[in-house]
Amino acid sequence: MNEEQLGRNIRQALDAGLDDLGGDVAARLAVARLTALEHRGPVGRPTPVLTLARQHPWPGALALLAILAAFLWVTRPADTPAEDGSVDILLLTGDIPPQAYADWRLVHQEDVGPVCFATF
Amino acid sequence: MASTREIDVFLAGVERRAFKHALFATQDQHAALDIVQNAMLKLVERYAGKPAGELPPLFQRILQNAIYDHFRRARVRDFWVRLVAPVADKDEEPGETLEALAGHSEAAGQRGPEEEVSGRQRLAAIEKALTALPARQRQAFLLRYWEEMDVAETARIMGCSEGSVKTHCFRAVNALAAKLGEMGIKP
Repeated sequence: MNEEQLGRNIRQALDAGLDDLGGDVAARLAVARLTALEHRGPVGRPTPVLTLARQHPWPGALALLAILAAFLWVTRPADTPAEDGSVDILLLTGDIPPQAYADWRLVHQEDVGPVCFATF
Repeated sequence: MASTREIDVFLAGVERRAFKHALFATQDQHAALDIVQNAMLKLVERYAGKPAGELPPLFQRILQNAIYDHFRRARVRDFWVRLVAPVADKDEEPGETLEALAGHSEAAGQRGPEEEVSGRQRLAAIEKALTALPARQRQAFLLRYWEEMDVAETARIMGCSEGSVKTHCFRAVNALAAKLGEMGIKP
């Protein structure tokens, strides 16, 4: 007898024996099945929002990109040296001449009177 | 996505075989029922969104994992029990069932010729022979020949190569044929 034949014979015998499991076991299996079906969670019933997102993915993707861009803009590093106060300190301590940040036209207009320093 | 009705029909169709799978492995009816219930719950909670056609291999994988988990928990429990009671009798471990089966075979041989063995006795002998198989051989044999899964699918569920599945099945068939022959039962 080859492997397939023996497997087939044993399958038939085992299948025939399934009806003799006994009422208790069959009842417990049925209860287990019904209990499991009652636990069908959100995976089985997708929410309307998820359904909508699956049907129309582009608006959601664009909204996510917009949120990401806004986040990056808000959290970007300071791009002007004056914003962190270090330049003010250097000016006060004399390490940088005031002219470095002054409008050269105002600095060199002698007829204006007192020299006007415009920092920004 | 499988409907609740489809899942119900599928589970109703496999629940008895699943119970027998677990029973062959654990030899404990209550544990087997718990394993099947846990497997059903996991299938419904995690994979109810899958198409109905994908449920059989998923359920088999969940069931086999649930059986592994049962033995893993039992090993941990045994470890602590042995720690507390170091003189526990190791002869009571499962795995010595081949010798037990040999005893059954002698008893079966005394009952008479093959024709007198009823279908129920034949089934009992087959179940004993299956129970006596090493776990991996039994798992491969039942998945291939009872669940009618192909070699590749069986290998995926068992987490091994296709070659290992073929080897397990070959050895299982030889062992079953030999044991049933010893019991005077034509397989």
